[in-house]
Amino acid sequence: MENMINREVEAFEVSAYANGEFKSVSQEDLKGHWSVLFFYPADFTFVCPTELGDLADHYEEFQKEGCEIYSVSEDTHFVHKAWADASETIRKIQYVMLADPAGVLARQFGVLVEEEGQALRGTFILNPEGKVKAYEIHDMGIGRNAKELLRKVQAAKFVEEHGDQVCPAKWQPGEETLSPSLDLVGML
Amino acid sequence: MDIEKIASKSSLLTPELEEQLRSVLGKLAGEVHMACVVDLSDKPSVEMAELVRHIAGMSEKLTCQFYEPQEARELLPELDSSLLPVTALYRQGQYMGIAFHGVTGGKELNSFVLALYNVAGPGQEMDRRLQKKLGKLAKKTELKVFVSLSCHHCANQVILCQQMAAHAQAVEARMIDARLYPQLVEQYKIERIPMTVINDGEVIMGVKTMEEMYQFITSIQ
Repeated sequence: MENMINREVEAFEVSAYANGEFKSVSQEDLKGHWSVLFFYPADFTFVCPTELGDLADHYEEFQKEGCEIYSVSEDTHFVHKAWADASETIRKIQYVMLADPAGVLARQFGVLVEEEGQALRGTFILNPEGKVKAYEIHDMGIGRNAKELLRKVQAAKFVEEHGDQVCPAKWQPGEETLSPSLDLVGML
Repeated sequence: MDIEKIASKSSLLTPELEEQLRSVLGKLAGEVHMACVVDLSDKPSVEMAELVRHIAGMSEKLTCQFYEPQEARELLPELDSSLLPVTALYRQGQYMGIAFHGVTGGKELNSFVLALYNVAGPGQEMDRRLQKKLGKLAKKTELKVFVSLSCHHCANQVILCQQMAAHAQAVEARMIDARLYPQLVEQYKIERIPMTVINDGEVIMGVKTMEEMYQFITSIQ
């Protein structure tokens, strides 16, 4: 599979379900702000609602980061609505649920399992230009963590704003002093 | 403080490292004095004191003196003795605005050695125009550079800030190993390093160029 980092999202237009309404979402809607495309295999399954609910619980924090969330499955927008009507977990979702029955998005992002017509659990973080800055793809049964995703969005934003000459600060209590090393080539 | 309380050799300096260091210290043109404030009941203080004494013993251009915190508060009021250990550099009795809070292990041995070289002379090359402008800075500017010893970018920001301090009387640049001071990590909300705090207010993340740092400092004066 090809590396997706820095690849720009290609043109698309799909139907979507959001807060009881149907709408259309295109490539342009993903620009001008950070976005997360959150693929999952299908509506009305067991692991999916827990993941989507976890995302819904942290949605406000993503919004504070200027990041919009788009869940994507290979179901239609009508199925999304039916799922929301049937499930309390899905009903509380405020973010946009994209419908990708033709597999346009899943194929574009390399997560479509053609023979099953379902998407792998792929998560893609896009910058305001619509370029992929981080992604992960899980097999069907492996769930994801919204808090960890939020941390990645924050890190991606930070690097974009400050360049990459920074390191995460991780200190362990009682850590030993690191042995010194000297590298002054070209500095004297 | 009686210097004999401190071992003259540091276990942090291997023979190979000592050899490399000796060749760098051989380039020092003038004298540099290292004042080191330590609490010898504390491991990082012992480590830094031994390292300073070891390095001082490797060049006739280097001298060192050790102080207990209460002594330092009286004799070295220019230093922040609340963050121990602290090692500061002096030239001809004058504090050069360069201090290290913590042990200069890991990558920070580079910044420590270059600070000695910049204070002693000839020092690292610097754009003459910028050097002049730095010398004209009037308003006191304090740069706290928070680092981790394992961060490969941090030493570069420390080196740059302390090179500025070596040329600008008004600038003080302090390396702070954030690992040793959790209260500061909390106070300044440090999640990434290097993080440079200017006059306890403005924050700069990552490594900048000297021109960028100069522009930033002048913009807030």
